Amino acid sequence: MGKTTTEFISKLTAHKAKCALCVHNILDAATPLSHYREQMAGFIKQMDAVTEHYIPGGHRPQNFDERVIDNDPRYKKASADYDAVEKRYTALHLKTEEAKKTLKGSLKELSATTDLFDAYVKKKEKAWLGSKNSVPVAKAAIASSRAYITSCNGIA
Amino acid sequence: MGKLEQIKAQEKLRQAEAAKIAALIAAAKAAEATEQKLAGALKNAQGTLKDVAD
Repeated sequence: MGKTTTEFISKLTAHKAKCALCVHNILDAATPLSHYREQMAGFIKQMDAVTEHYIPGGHRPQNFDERVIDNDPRYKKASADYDAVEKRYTALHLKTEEAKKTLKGSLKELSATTDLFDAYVKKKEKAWLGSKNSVPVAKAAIASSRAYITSCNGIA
Repeated sequence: MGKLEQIKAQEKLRQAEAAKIAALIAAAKAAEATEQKLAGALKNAQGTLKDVAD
């Protein structure tokens, strides 16, 4: 008794957990991105300020050697700092995209199991009439699963 | 093209990306809230359906 429903609910719970982990990984990777972008914008401003110092208003002095800017310690530092943050940004962006791909796969599994459970509940509806609340509770779980899938589809 | 110009071009692309990332974060947070509802519904189903006819 209840073996099949228990198996379905275990599977749904496991698929949900996989999706939830992906969503967590997406948030973990994507949340710091705006902070890194702000830092990168700050380094660009610093590099701009050094450039402005040597080329005021964009008016390049005659015979000006660009390497003077590249070798300026302030420019060098801002450039190196930018590179370091950009590396972290790129890595996290990649992690976000990978988590989105994994989420798509996990959502397919959750969706397939939800469809199977839905079909099973429809088949058993009459047999379960004597069991108080069974059908509404099963239908509520199916509706919740579909709502979760819809909400995750907005991410992936 | 100098490094600064390259960085600025990249930054313009990232500005467009920023709106997408903000939307992604909002959607992920909404999904987390929906997941809590599903967890409750599954727990409820587990208790109620454990004795129904196979």
